[in-house]
Amino acid sequence: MPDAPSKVITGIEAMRGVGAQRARGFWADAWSRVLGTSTAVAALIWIGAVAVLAVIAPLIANAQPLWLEHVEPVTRGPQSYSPLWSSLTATDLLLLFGAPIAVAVMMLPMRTAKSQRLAALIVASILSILAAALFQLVIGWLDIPGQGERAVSLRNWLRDPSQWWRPIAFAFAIMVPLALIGSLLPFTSRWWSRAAILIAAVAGVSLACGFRVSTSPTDYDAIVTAEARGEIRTVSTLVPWSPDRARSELITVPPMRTVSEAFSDKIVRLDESIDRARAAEQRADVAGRRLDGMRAADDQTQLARQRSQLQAEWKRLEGTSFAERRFILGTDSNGVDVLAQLIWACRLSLSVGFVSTGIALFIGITLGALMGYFGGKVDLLLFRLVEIFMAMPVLFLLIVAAGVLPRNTYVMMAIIGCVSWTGAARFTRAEFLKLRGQDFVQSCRAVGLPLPSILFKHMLPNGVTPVLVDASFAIAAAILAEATLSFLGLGPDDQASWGKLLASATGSTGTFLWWLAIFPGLVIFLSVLSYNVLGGALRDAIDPKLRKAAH
Amino acid sequence: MVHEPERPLLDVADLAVSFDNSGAPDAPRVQAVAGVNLTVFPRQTLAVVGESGCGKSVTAMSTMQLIPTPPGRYDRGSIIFQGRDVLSLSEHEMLSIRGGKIAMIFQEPMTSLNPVYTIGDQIMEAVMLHQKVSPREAFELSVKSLEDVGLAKPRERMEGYPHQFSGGERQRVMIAMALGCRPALLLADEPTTALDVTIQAQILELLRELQVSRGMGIMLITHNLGVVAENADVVCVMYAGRVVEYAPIFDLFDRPMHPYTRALFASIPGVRDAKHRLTTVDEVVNDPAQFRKLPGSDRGVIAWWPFTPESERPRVVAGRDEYALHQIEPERWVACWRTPEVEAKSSPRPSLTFRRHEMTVSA
Repeated sequence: MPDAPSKVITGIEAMRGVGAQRARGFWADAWSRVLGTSTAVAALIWIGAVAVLAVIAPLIANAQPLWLEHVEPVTRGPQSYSPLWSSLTATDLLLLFGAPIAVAVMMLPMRTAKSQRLAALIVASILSILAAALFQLVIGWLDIPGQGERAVSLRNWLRDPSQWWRPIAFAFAIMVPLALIGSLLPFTSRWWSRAAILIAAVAGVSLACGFRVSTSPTDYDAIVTAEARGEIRTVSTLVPWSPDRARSELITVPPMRTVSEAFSDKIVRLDESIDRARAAEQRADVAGRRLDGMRAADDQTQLARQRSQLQAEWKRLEGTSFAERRFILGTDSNGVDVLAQLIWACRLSLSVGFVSTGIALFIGITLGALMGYFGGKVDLLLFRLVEIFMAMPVLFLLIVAAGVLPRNTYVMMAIIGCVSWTGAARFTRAEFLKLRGQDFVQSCRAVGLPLPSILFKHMLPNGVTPVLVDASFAIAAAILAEATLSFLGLGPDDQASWGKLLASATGSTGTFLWWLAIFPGLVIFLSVLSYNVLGGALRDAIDPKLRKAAH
Repeated sequence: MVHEPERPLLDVADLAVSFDNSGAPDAPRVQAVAGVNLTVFPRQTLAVVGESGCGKSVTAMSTMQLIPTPPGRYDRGSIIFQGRDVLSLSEHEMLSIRGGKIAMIFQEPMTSLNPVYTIGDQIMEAVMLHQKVSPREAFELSVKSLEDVGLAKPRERMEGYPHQFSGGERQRVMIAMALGCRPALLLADEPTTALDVTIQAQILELLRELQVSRGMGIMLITHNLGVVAENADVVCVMYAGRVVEYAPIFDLFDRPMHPYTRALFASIPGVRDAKHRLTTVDEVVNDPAQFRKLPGSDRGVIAWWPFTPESERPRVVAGRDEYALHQIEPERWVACWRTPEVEAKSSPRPSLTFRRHEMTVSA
């Protein structure tokens, strides 16, 4: 029998506030409910793992060695250095340093409320992304040949190696106006914390962009050669392959083969082909078909030449650490490691999912709130706009856009975001129509709150639930849209993508390569499933119909 | 002692508000308020009494321009608050008046607070909106105003969410929120309906104190004649969007003149009344004898009542509104038919500076 409670709080004491406990906030409560669902936790773990991989992708999957050391003393250059570090781009640096800082800001106990910290981080990261993208665009544009004299002189001015501060100053000049716009956003109440956050973002982005105005990756093949000659020793990353390094002799290697095994497999296969060609020649000779016999002999010499080339390459590499490197998930039809691509593609998947959904939420919530709150003519007009956008087939629009607009990630995110906001708008509108008649909205007006505050501070948190649930499904849909486009060969052409990998499962030779179907397919499936499970858990956590606790 | 005529804090003149009923532009509109006149002076409580739907709340909401337009529409009239016509102000100018100069307590405490924010957040937001104070000062001001309305442990309960408060506590939070900004005029729309009697008395006592110390005017909208009897200085009885009787509290309770006012009093059961059934309003207002009790009823001053049969209505001045608020005594206005006799004697708009606490002080 359980012990009876030693003390009972009487009604009188309760009236005086004895035993009153601090309530958790609405979102904290909902979040703890989500964490109480085991499937949602599994989904969160998967999404978290994808996010971590996206951030640290260059550190775990990189063909550039972590550390390189010359065996004999060198006269020029450093004795040992990290080629990986010098190959990191500004984006890599911002992610690698920004993400831990962001996690620390959220996790460490601070006096500022978590919601305010989150808002500040979101503002800082949006500014950083915009500034970094803008900087990359400008630099990329300058690097395109034939831009005229002014561009060339600007490029030379920026790239003057003796004046290291110039690119930093350039990045700073791009960042400052953005930060000034950002300072207008009310993400924290205190001006000095706002200033501190913006200054930190400005400084970080400027430094990262300025230092990495151009990366100078060490020639990868040179490293392999030097290693084969025994001139250097290297320490490689966990997955010693980059998604942008292809070796033509290592195409379609099945999973779990090392480089040397892949070579010997190829040689064995070549031997078989040579044998077959020889048998064919003999058969042709016996049958007296001279032409076939000559063709078979020709094949034979060609295959033998290939074999001797492979043999030589293998001899060169044999015994080095390179030869022992393993393709854990095999390679695709271009000879690129699949695992490295899967890891790097986490970036594309996450950014497409979150950025396009972010754009959609921004447009959808703003328009939906206006429609729901004002009703009448505003509702009538804006809802026609919603209907127009609902009638647009997103996939076909994307396919057309991929043909007309530059094929990069930003354009893809913008298009997905700009056509998929109708769900958020309709949900927000419905919620606001319901909420606007409620007494607390009336009382907000009576207190004299300005309209944006009523709409977004007071009404939105009460009606955002269905929008959030919709958003988590929208992220899944955006990931699928990206995968579909990449599968069709219309994705961003400079980036690893799960969809692109999937597309190469039936390679140019027409053979079905199972590892190229299973692994990317599984990853896409798990990601989409995770967002859907999370959306469902969120809905269950917040839906008042499923909760007995009355407010 | 020479009296400069005191200027009212709020002066509602001939206010008419109507609502769109069907959406069709030429469809008849619902006239919720049809020419209401009333004044509130500083340190005065004006009680607006009447049955549901008589236009009390619409009048109060109009003074803050809280009627959504459309479907609402201000047909005519003016609402002068501190020398400015509220109805002519822009939405932006209204923001500083709402909450800051005119505050409102709503009748629904259960749903008038935002469920996703703590009580503290909500009071502090209102305080910081209208007063230039730091968050720390705003916190202290909020705690003080919660303490004023008699909430136990205000400092701890600032962290609480609305669902942790009982109905009465929420109503007190609402009142604290309204009073936190030190308004000049308080519109109290049935402020004590949800409260138990002890708290009710406490809140009304608090409102009276603040009224004296801050010079605040109160428009008290209620059904409860007991609350009116204890708190009001001037009573405005409304029916069907019009004022039917307007008089100082004691005069009205001693000698209700309009049959409808009499009916309201008659329908209150006394504790010792051994009645088989209660008197209804209809029983009183359908009795022609009641209409003859009005002084001057034999001289053409006849109490206005919308349900008087056509045959019994007096001859009214053609082309004008049949209703007129007639000053029957120096300190009493009663709704009358606009007969030539009533029209002949022009009545000023109702305005009474009477305050009960000043009377007792001077007495």
